[in-house]
Amino acid sequence: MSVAVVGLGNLILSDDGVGVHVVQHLIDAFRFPDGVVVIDGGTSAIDLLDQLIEAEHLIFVDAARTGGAPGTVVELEGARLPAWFRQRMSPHQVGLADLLATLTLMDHAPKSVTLIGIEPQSMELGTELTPAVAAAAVEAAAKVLAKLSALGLHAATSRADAETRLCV
Amino acid sequence: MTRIVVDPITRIEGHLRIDCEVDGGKVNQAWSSGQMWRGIEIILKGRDPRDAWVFTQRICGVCTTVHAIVSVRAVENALQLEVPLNAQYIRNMIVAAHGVHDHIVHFYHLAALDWVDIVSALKGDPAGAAKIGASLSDYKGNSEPAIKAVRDKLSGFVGSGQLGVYASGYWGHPAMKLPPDINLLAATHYLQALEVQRIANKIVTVLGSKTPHIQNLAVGGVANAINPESQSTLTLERLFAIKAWIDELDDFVNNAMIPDVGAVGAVYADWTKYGAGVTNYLSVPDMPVDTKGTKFAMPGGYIKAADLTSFKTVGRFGDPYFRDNVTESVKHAWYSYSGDGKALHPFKGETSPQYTDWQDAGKYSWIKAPTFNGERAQVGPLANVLAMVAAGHEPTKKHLTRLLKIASTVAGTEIPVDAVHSTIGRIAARAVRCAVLLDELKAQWQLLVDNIGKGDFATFNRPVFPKGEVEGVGFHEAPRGVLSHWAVIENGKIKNYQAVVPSTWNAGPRDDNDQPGPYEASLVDNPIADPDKPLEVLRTVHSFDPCIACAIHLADTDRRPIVSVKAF
Repeated sequence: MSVAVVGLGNLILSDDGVGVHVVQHLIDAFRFPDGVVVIDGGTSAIDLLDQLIEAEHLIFVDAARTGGAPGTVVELEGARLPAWFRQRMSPHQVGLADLLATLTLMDHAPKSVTLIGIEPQSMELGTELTPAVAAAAVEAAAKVLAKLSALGLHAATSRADAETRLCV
Repeated sequence: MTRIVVDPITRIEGHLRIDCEVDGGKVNQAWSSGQMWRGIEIILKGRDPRDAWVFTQRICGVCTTVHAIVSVRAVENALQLEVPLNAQYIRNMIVAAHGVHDHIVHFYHLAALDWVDIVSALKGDPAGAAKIGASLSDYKGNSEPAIKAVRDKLSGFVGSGQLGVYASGYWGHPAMKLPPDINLLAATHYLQALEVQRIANKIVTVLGSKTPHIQNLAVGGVANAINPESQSTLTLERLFAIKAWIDELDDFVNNAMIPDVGAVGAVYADWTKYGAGVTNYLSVPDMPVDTKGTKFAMPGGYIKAADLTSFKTVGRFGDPYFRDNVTESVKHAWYSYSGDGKALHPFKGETSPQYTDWQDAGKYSWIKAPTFNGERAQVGPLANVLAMVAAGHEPTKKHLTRLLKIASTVAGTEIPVDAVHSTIGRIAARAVRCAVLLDELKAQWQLLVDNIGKGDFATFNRPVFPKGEVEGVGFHEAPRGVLSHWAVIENGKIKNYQAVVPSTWNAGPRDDNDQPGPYEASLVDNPIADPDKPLEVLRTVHSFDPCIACAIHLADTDRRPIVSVKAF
């Protein structure tokens, strides 16, 4: 079993970077069992190929426009994902859709792809998350951990307040 | 007359809109417009200059490494800080490996689909493709079974309706001219290149600790500890693993990529007549091999009006010839400048957005228009290869001669060096530069190993910030051309910071004198067979390898048709 958790987004465009904030928090505050890699993917696509090619399950964490209130966290999987790519709700998906097609072409299609999406409020230049989205980042991190647990992979907390407060 | 609007240009990083006015089957005017707004300087003001590179490498998902390297160079230039030899060599290896990776991905995965028809490749004969491959080189990946396996895989992929990466291709377009067997050979290398680019990325990962977003840089050197005795540092074992990867890259680049580009260029020799555009070429030297940045393994400089004898070298980091001659105009960009509004030097640069609607004769882009010595200049591998040829750089001359010889043999007619001032020439120059970078990667590897062998383990000099104001420019010959960061530092904090990136030079709009930028100029006179499928526009624009996420910023992209055509 191998799982890659990939945070996507741009850290200098405020809430656009929420996916990266979430994985930085996970890396900082949790220890993961063998077989789990947690990656700060930034806004890259093809550059991630080498790290994703062996993963059986991919979990992406990213800002996603779904029409909800800022900070709304959604979990999309399977048939609902292509719509996410097509609608291009955040600026990275052109490359990401190509990346997934490329994995398939190389006979390394993952068994599952999950998106933990967070509705952004501000995409302006800036390095801080807005309060609603910062709160949602903790919820998104919990969803990642729950998803890993469902796959039989349990992360250990290395900080007492890790599940309630973002440390980035 | 017809107006074609391609928005966004696909298979690039970032959001670019190209407008072309077409008359009589060819382009007579073009506009290049960045559709997102920029401003890294807004984030950096007031920060510690030692941290700037951590933020600048977040500008783009493709060019992370280059924005990190050039940022530490800018601060080092402001402090006149020397960098230990080991740090230069390690940075140079990262830069070379990143460049090789980028050039391979650009040719095979971004540009080739404008010239290679994947659907036609399915009709190719593996035996015929293998025979063509064998006539070009002895590359081991050209065996008939390997090619047949690729054809079968592609047939399954396309047959299942999963066009995916290929969905945006103009298959069957009348301007697609490669015979099925060559299409099949190129498609085979397309798939092999996916594996090969991973190898180049591994080198960056081992030296940079992490990709994307390397972690090992510091103003004053690198954070790599060198100790041949310790397993947790950069050991000889790791260095020899890197050497083995370099050899694998060498086989692919010299025996697959260079012959492919030569053969494609020969079949599309008519494209040596189109796309020259701006033929003032600017590049900078790179691969510093001393601590002060006064000696470089790869030269750079300025060439005026395609005349190689006019070459004037940029000699060292901070060279006033480069530093004092760059300005940026906003006459046609959505910004305003204080004072008379004329072009400003980057140290005095301002970023005040002033959005108007699209105005053909007014403002129409979020990208500023840079000039060198008051002139528009093209940057990129072609500019760099021409500069290196003008400077007498032997490895460059060797690889360029070999590529032109392959192209001439396939075309059955002599293809002269002058043919590179063109759309297809930019693609050829990128392949040449890829091979040159690979040679330099080997050379830098040897320099590092030899220097460690002498007992020099130093990798870092501590920066000290003076009271008062200092300013510095860092430059780097990045995969898409000249990248420069300009930092003004006051009492140890950033006061102003401007990035003049390669795609600013190439994709910028008209300047203060209404002179078109390189994209705009290179599109003029391109043939357009079908305005609804402007493949020719994509060929010329992709030949520059646009990456404009750093030239500009975020888009909120509603889904719209990519090409629209208006007759008037």
